[in-house]
Amino acid sequence: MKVQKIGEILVMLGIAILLSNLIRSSNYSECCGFLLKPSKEAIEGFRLPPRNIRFEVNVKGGSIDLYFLSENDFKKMKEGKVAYIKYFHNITSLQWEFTVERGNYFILIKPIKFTDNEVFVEVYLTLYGIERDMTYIGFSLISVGIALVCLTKVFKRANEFK
Amino acid sequence: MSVTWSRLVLWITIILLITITLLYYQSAPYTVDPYSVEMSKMESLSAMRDALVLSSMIYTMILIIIGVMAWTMPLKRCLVKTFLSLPIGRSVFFIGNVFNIFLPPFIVFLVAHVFAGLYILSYVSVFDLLLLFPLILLNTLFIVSIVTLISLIVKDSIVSLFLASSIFLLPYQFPMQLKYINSCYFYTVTVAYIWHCVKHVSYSEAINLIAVTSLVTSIALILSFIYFLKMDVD
Repeated sequence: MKVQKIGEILVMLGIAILLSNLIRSSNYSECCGFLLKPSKEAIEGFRLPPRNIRFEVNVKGGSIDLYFLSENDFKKMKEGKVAYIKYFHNITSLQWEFTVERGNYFILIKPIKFTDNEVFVEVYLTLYGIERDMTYIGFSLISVGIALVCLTKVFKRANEFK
Repeated sequence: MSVTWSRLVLWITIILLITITLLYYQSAPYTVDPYSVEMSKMESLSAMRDALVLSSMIYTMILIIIGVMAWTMPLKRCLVKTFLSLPIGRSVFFIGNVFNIFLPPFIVFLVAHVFAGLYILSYVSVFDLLLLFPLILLNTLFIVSIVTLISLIVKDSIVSLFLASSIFLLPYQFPMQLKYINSCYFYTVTVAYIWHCVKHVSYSEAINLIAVTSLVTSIALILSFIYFLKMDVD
């Protein structure tokens, strides 16, 4: 009986996580801007959920190199090593769609050409779709819960036959 | 039938509380300061504080409904008398019912916030998250004690529901005393939590709020207990 109750609670937990995941999966946009002078670079960090991400960059007054780094890559860069997930060379605009695992990510912007005194970089992050890890957690909990309830019933039936 | 009803209430509580708690943790990119761990911590804390404040509204509503139902229904149907004919005393029944009201929602609410803090926000300070335990417990007991007192005195579900909801959720329509109870309730958890973690709130303010909330909770629980021991359950 206790195992069956645990199973039921797990199913409820799974349903709640899936439900919240569905409602939370509305589109979300974030924008940030950087004003860069020659030989200056900018870095910005985000904790990203595992959703579909559209990454747009607009550059005014020159062109840039852009690195997309994971947390480990960022640590390696601090030690002077070169590591990145994606590298874009000499760009004035960019549109890139990707998915990541949940974690901290960084964008490193280095201006390379100047038509004005300063380079202005606009970065747009748009998140859409559902969070994959929460979906897995939800379905896993439901599966384990249903398995527990079914097993309890099977054992109960088996004991009745005995 | 009563078992099915209580299980249904438990299911709805779990689904509602977890769904709504997680809803207040946005599925959005949280800013991480590359050079300052403290700044990233502040960002996570402010997200957690917002989620705590916003989700506590529905948490309060659920506690009020469960609390009122758990006290007024048995009194109305004379079930208390039936329970007391079993070999249990009034004090055991009272304590059992109070635990029955606050324990399931408290555990679900706490687990949902700790899960969101650890997993969604990646807020790694386990000690800070553990501090939520006594603060949410105090908050929960505060609501449950007042709901218990109201339900035992009024004995009517609808009136108790309205009265309890008014005290906790409609502060600005009522006199200063009730407004103070409401502000104590709303800010105890968040203010004390932020005071501990970010040190933006004064120490005395946090201590005052915790002291007043604890005092009101103790008085309400003791009064309810004495009233329940003396009351006529026929």
